Amino acid sequence: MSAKQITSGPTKPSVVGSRRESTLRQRPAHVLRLLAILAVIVAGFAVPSLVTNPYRLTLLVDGLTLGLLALSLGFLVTQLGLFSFGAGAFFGVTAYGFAFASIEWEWSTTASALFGVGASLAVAAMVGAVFVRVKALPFAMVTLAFSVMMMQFVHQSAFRDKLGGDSGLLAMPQGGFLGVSQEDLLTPDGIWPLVWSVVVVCVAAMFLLGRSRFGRTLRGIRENDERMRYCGFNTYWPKLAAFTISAGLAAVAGLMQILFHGFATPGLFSFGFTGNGIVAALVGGIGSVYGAIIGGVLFTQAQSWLGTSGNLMLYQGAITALVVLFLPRGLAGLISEVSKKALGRIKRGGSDASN
Amino acid sequence: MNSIQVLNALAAGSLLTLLASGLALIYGLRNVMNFAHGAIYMFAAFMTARLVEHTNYWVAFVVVPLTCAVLGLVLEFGLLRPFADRSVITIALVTFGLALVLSSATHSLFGTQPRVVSAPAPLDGTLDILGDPYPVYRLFLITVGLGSVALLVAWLKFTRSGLHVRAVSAQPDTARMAGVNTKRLGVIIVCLSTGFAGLAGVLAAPYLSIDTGMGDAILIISLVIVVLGGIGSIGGAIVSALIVGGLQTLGSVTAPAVTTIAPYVLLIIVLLWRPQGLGRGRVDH
Repeated sequence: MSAKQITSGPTKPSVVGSRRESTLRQRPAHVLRLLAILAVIVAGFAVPSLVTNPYRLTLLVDGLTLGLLALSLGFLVTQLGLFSFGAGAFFGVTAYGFAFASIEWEWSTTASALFGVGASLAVAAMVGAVFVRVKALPFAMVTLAFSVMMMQFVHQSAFRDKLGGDSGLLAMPQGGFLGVSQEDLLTPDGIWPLVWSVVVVCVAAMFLLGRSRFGRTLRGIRENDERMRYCGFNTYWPKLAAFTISAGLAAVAGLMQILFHGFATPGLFSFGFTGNGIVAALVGGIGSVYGAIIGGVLFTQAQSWLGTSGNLMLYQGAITALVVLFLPRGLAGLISEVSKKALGRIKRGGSDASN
Repeated sequence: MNSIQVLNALAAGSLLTLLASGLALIYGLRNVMNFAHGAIYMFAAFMTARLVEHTNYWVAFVVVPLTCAVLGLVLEFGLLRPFADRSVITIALVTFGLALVLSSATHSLFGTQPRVVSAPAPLDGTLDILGDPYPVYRLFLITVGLGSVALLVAWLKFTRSGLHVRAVSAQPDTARMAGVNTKRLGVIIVCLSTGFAGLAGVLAAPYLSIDTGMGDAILIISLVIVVLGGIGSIGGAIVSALIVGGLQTLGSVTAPAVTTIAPYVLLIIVLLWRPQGLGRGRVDH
C-alpha cells in the first residue's frame, strides 16, 4: 500500500493524503517509542532488586535527585533560553523549610514537605517577579547573586540557633510520606519507588508542558520577546510562571534529598552545587526532558569514579567545556540521532521489501 | 566613620574595581561573561606566593600580570576566535568549565594550603594618618589599583583607540561598519582584562589570605558589580565597584549582619528600578 502511494504521490500532491500517509508511516515508530518508554518506566521500578549494593543504589537515588535539578535548569533553558545559575537556591529553600518545620514546629513529614515546597514556590514567585524582567545574561547573574544571598542568610549568626549556621540542619522525617513509611524513607531501596515515580511524573509533565500552547508561547518569547508583545501576547506572566515551575522542580528535587538524607546545609546554595546541576543538564542534553535525568545519574556515577583521583574539578571542567563546544545537544541529542538513523534504516528496509 | 575606614573602603574597592573593569571590558568588546576571571585572580595570588618564596615580591609584581596577560592570549586564540559564532551563554559556560580546569591546575601547581605573604620591604611599615597608624602597603594597594583604573579611564576617554573601545562596547555592529578594527582591539582587551585580574591577584596577596575559595567569592561580587553598572558600561562598573567596596567595608563596622547581603539587595533594587543597570550601557541589552 505504501509503495502504491509513493508512486502516486508526485502526481497527486494532496495535502490530506500526504499527511495521512505520513502518520501511517510514522505509526510503527510511534508505537515503538511508546513501548520503549513504558518498558523504561516499568524497568525503573525493578532497579532496587537488580542493584543490591546499598552504596550503588544510594548513588542512583542521588543521581535522580540531581537529574530533577538538571530538569529544572533545562526547562528554563529550552523554553526561555534562560540559564538560572541559582537553581540550587530553591532546592535549598525546600530542604531548609522542611527541616525547619519538622524541628521547630514538630510538623509531620507531609505537612513539612508541603511547607518546604510551598515556601520555595512563594520565594520563587517573589524574586522571579523582578528577575524575569532582565535579559539572559543579567538573569544568570541575578539568580547567582540570589543564591549567594541565601547562603549568606543561613550563615547569619543571628539565626544560628534556628538555621544551624555552617553545619546546617538535621531533620529526621516525622512519619511516612505518600505511602512510604518513616523507616523506608531513609533506605535507598525503600525510597526508590517514590523517587522514581516523582521523576516519571516530572519528566512527563515537562514533556507535555513543552508541547502545550503555554510551551509554544514561551518559545515564542525566547525567540523574540518584542515581536510576541507586538502580536498581542503578554510576555511577563508566562515568563514568571515558567520561572516558578522551574523553581518547583528544583524544590521537588530538594524535597527528595531531605527526605532521603535528612540534612540541609549552606552548601546547597553554593554555585558549585548549581554548577553540578548545570553540568548534568549539559551532558545529558539541553532540550530533552529525559536527557536531564540521564545527565544527573551519569554525573553522580562519574563523581564517585573520578572523586577518588582527587582531580574531580579538572575532569568536570574539561567535560563541561568539551560537551558545550562539541556536543551541544548532549547525550540525548546523540541518542535521538542514532535512533533516528536506526528507525530510518528499518523504514527503508520495509519499503525496499515491498518494492 | 573615620579616615581609616575610608581608606579601608578604598583598598577593598580598588581590588573590586580592577576585577570588575576587566570583566566589563571583555564583555563589552568580546561579548564574553568570563567565569574564569576569579580563577585567574586566584592563580595569580598563588603564583605570587610561590615567587615570593623563591625571589621577591617585586619580581612577582612584574611577572604575574604578564603571565596572566599571556593566559588572555591563550583564551583569545584558543576559544574566543575559533568559536566566535557561538552564543554568549555557550561561551560563558565554557569559561565556567575553564575556571574549574584552571583552579584544579593552580591546586596541583601550587598546592591547596592557604598562604600568607608579608608586605615587601619598603612598604611593610605603618604611616600616621590623622593620628592613627595605617599600613603603608594598603596605601600602595590603593594607589596602584585606582591608578591603573584611572589610566584605563584616561585611555578610554582621551585616545583614539580608547574611543574605538567605547564605540564597540556601546554598539558593536555600528562600530564595525564605521571601520573599527574590532579583531585587533579584541586581542588587546582580552589581554588587558586577564592582566588586570593578574594585577589584582598580585596586589591582593599581601593584603588578603590566599586560599582556594578566594576566586569564587570575589568573582560573584565582581559579576554583581558588572550587572549593577550596566552590561557594556565600563564607567558604570568602576563606579559600582567603588560603591560596593565602600558598602562592604563601612558596613562591616556598623552592621556586619546586613553587610554581607547588601550588594545583592542593592542589585535587586537597582534592577527593579533600571533593568539595564546604572550606567549608560549597550542599547540592545
